[in-house]
Amino acid sequence: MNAPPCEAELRDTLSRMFKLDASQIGLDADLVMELGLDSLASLRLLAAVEKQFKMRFPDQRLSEYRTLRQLMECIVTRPNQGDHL
Amino acid sequence: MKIGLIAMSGVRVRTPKLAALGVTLPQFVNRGKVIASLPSLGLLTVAALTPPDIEVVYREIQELKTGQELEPFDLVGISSFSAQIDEAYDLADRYRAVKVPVVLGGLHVSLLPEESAAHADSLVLYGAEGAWPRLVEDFRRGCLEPRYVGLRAGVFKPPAYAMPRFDLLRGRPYNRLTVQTSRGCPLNCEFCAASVRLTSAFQQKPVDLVLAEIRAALAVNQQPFFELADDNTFINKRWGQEFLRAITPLELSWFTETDISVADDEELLDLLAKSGCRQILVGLESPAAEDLDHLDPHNWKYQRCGRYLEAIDKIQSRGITVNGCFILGLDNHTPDIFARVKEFVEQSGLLEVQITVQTPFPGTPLYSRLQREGRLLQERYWERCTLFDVNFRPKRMTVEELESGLHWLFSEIYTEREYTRRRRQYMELVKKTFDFTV
Repeated sequence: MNAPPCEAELRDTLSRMFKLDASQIGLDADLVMELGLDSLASLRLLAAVEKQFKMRFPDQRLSEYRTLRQLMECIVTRPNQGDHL
Repeated sequence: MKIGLIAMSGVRVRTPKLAALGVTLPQFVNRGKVIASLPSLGLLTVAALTPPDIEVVYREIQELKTGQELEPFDLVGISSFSAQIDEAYDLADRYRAVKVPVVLGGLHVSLLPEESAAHADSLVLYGAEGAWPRLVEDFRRGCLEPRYVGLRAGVFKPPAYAMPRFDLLRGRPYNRLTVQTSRGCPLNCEFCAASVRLTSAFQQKPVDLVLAEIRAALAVNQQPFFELADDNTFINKRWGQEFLRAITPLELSWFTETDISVADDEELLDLLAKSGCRQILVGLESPAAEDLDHLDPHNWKYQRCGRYLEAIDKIQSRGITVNGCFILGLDNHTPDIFARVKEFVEQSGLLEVQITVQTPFPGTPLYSRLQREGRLLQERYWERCTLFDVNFRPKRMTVEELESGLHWLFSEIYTEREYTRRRRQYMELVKKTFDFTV
């Protein structure tokens, strides 16, 4: 199966922001538990992804986006959408 | 010879209503768990000051279950804050009952040595530097003295300084490690019961020593979250810039406590962001200047209060989150303070908030004043020095109003819904201001 176009961009963002070797990040690797991203850095990552892909993660589920796959699925399925305060 | 160093940790709220609230409020519990899971840097320093031919064992109090046989040591050292001091005394009494000499140290012991002396063979007052090496030599010779007074200045200079024994933490499940860059704080707020009470003047550790300690800690845990065990890290902005430039290549994630003046220095803020600082904890204490009048001898916080919102925005726009701390029950607080704090929190965009009640810790200027004014509720209440239990009569409200206001504010601020709102507010701020491309 082909990787969605956002995957390379996401890997690049992770690599740039958190000095991770993004090519080595497994799609289902837990960014917090396995890759050492703390919860505050994760929040900044979500903000960066929202800005980059012009989308919005659902507010109630912010802590659930912990893997590359989860981020990609949300980007693909929820462009320009999201809960609002 | 084998010395056991025992750290007390895990403060429990005593007021039943608050304790019940605490277990149900996610953000209240989270920070408490973090604090309780930090190793005792003081005891790691004591270990480092012990001659290398002596075996040193580091233990947390939870590892020594009551009723079980005591782990055998030739000498025991216990360090405790006020809230756990009675548990520390119980443990000391148990060891002394089986003829194991006990040394007590730490903030509470330093400030109330007469009380602590009844439970110890010897006390270490103030810093262990300058005291512990003499104590160990005397113990070896069988002539332990009842008190050893440590240094209150020059603690980061040779020959007094020793690098904490981070190696004793090897194999333990700490994901957060502490490093100290300074002791004391020139602000000297009336309520403060931190290292300012142990020092005669602000003590700054040279950057090369801090770096060496960080590297030693990284040898034990390659990817820890660092907490700087300081009262106020960025008092000296020039030192701050040097420190931040030095740690940036290490790619750390870290947290510290400092005052709001950190926002005055744009270069420092940029360096903070680059260095991996995730959060700073700032004692805002109250949302309005009139609440803060005479809280510190120079009325520094009173003068600063009007710029709190602007400063929080400047710091958080760099991606560094602010944990804003508020103290309830200050003399100028009336029952409207709870709603005012809630309103300020909403307006400020603070990602995290720490609400505590003013606590007259023994040995502080606040304790002396409230005692003088006859406003302490009990003579001895150390187990209630949790920062969440009310131990004094407030000036402009009743004890019941303070307690119920605190309960109300907790139930407004520490809910998952409110934290979600604050996370979204923070994300929108950094999306507007933070340059994600560098």
